[in-house]
Amino acid sequence: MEESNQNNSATSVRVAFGTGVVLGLWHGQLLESPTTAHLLTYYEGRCRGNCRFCPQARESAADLKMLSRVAWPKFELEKVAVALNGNSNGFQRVCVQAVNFPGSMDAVCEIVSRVKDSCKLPVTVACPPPSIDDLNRLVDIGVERVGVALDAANEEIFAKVKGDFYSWAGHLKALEDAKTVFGDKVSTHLIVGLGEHEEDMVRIIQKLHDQAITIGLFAFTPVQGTPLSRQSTPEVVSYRRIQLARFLIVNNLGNANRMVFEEGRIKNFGIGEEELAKVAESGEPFITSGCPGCNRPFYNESPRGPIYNYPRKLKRNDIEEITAALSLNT
Amino acid sequence: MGVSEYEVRDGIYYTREHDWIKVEGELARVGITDYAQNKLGDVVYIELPAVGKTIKQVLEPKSRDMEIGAVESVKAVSTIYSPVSGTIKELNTTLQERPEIINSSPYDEGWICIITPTNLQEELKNLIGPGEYSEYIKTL
Repeated sequence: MEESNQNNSATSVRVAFGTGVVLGLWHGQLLESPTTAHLLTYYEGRCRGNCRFCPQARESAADLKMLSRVAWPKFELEKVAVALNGNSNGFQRVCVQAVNFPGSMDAVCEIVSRVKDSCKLPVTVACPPPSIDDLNRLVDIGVERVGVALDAANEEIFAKVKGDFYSWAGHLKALEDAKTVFGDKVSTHLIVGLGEHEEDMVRIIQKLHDQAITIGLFAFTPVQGTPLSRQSTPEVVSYRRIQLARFLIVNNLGNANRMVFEEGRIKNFGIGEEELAKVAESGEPFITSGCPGCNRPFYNESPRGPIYNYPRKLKRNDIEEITAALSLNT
Repeated sequence: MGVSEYEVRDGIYYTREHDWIKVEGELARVGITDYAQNKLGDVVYIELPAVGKTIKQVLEPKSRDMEIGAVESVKAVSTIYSPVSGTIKELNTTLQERPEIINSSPYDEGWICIITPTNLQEELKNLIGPGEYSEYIKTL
């Protein structure tokens, strides 16, 4: 029996809070403005997936307007498109994210088409594992980049956190399929703090980088109403080590095979101390990573801090604090 | 008194940092204005001072000893400055459990702290009244 897709209409869309402020849809104060306009498919029910950290998950009790710690109020797609037409200057990209529901790809395509009619910004679609047909459809309507969120550092953690509905093999296959259609315009998310060791995360970063997949690093964020609501956020200094390792790897300044790990923790980054310090001193490794033009301000943390992913260039005191915490010679 | 969508209460004093102060005998009750809570958006957390903390009236240039605490929304943090010098006497601890009260009732249930002022009458001269505050927020 074919599932009903009566809720797949994209006359409505969810808009990330900061995006709505920049577009003039509602009032709000922003410490840092988002550089990507974030939209999410609107669906009256829950996702078919059951990722344990996600407010949208099938068995989550969280408010459906939440994704991570951010509210994404519902708004009329047409009004969002008009606003984008008039206010896209502050953005470098549009990201359309999809909840997994019957007909969600139709909703995604409708949103993308309205966005493409409204502005010239490059569009990313971040969606559940798409079929080759879906991927081709996205290319045909002008999507520039596609993202499939792996989230977990290894198969064991994937099974625990996302395995209710998805499979590790299925997600890796989806990323490979995405590459055949989108080439090097494929992104994924990795969430630090789901129970992995630093070594696990570094090795998956290396593997994905070797496949020319762009990695967006996230810090686990407990959200009320989700099964992981009581889990702690990752230790900040551990997150910093992983950020540093990611930066070295994706800029071909280092390699996971040359790094030294002790009980799963990064002990040595496999490059000279002076070079490492210079990299850290630039502040670049600690800025939000992922799709070009995406800064995701306070997606994982309170604006009070500590900030996991800096949505802006770091200030001198930020760098000093980080390099001191990492015990790097500067 | 109201200014378009922002409520400006009579009978209290204001700072240009969008704090209000209501004199209650020898004490002063402090909060943030309707304009401030509206601009901030949904308040999710408030950092309250310690009872007994000494604070100074907010003047330029600002310094840390003029800060009562901070109020935070999902995407921003705003410092709460003290309208008068004195000592923190009492806190509205309800706000720690229900920070959203600041949005729904900034002048009543959303009060933040009570101060025992040290130089009230003199320092009130540095504050502005409802009329001047109304005009001020029109310029923002």
